[in-house]
Amino acid sequence: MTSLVTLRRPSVGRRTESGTGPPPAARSADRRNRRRWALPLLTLAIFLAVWEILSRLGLGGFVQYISSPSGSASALWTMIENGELWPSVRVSVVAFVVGFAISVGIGIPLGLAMGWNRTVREFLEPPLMAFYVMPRLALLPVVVVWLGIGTASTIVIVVVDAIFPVIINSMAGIRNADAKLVQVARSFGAGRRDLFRKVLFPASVPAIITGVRLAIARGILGVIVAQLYVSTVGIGHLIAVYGQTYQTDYIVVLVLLVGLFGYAVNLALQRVEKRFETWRGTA
Amino acid sequence: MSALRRTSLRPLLFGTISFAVLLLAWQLIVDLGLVDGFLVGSPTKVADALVDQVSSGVLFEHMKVSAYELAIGFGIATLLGVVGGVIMGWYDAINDAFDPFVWLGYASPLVALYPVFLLIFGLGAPTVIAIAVLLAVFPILINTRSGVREVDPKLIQAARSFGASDGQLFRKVVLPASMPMVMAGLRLGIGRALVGVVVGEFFVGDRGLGYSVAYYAGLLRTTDMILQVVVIGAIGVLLTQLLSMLERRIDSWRVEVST
Repeated sequence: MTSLVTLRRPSVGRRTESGTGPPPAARSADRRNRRRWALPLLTLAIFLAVWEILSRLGLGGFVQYISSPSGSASALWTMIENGELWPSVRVSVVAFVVGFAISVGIGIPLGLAMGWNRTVREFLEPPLMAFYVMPRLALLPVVVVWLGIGTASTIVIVVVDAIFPVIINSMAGIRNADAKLVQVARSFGAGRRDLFRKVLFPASVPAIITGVRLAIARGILGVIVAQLYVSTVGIGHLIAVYGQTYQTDYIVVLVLLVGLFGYAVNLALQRVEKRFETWRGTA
Repeated sequence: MSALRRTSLRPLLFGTISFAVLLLAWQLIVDLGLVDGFLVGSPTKVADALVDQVSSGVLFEHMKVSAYELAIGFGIATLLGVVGGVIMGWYDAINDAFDPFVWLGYASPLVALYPVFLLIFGLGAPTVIAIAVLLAVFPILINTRSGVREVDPKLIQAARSFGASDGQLFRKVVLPASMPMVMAGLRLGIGRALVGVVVGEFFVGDRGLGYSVAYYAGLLRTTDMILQVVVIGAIGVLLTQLLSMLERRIDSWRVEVST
């Protein structure tokens, strides 16, 4: 699996210079950049227009359930106006942030310890791997039975879902640190502490950030599904309430809102990741 | 020789020990009364429940339903994801046009759309399958796409120099070269499809393993509930291992060629 990663690592700037498609006509980077912005906006506009028109034609069948952009927009406005949205957002964000902080706070040290010490790794890796690949949201009813309905259950589900990518990537970061760097540090008389602080930890930072980024998507899904399953508060609960009365306008706009939040956070972390990657690429 | 054997056996030994310690600790905290066995079950109780449910056939009944949903859902997701990924990887313009939809679809908690699917498909398997497809399709598509886009440009140039047409280039260079990434996508996809099936069954299922977890939870039959979760976990581990093996096989071919 590690060999796969190194094999696939793209060289810098290759992607934009040579497409793999049919021979590209000579086009300037400028034109391509403009298309990068214009095309998605165009398709989004077309998508919204088709959606709106379809919903207004009154075709019946399943089309009557797809709601509409204008309906969703006014649903969003209604929720903002009647003060329903903000408290739910706050509850969900708090549950997410707390769960996420716990995942990072426990996941990074644990992963680093597992990468650093072979005995620790060999004891902990099998059960953690088993948890990593199982569908952990299946634990949702179990957690609710144990902890009851409430924010505690939601936070635990976030941790259970988000902590594993952090652990696994932190561990991989240390283990994939360049052996040459370690040898050099050793040759110059670095002790274990210096080796960790000055070589291994910095070398594993990019992998840790990747793990944190993966954890965000999982954490968000965890919050929403947990609140959807049983809860009395939060965005997930709001979706469940509107789901019971099949007000699809509200459901669609809430799902999109969460998606946009996840997309934005993901994008920001990808930027950070890329920064570290260029630095790592020279190693 | 002995050093080699020691290193290859060590992880297996330690892994077995750590699972054994976990099970023992679980049994002990219940037997010693530290935690109420009613809430957390115990390995022996779960084993008893397993024997019960296997002999009465209840477990297999639910497993069959979930397996069916998973197979159809993962099949559709694979088809959509691979075809979509290849198209988006091959044509830059199409990729640019649909990229936001892909990332939004990947980032959104699409499970929450289940009331909409419920209206369209009704209660039970079709809605569960739809949820599984939506969760699984994006990792497959994204991986296939980067597999196609990141084919070694030297290979492409070489094929072009020897006069390969687009079709030949695609069939003989791009497709084989992107296989490892596609397989990695499928491995991620099957995990997400399983999540989709289980969570889908929580909300809209009328049978299946995920439905059973929620059902037993509702009745506070915790031992049966934990058994279902253990079975689901085992299936997740098994399927991922299976796809990892397939992945390694496909990758081993690549290594042979390149050396």
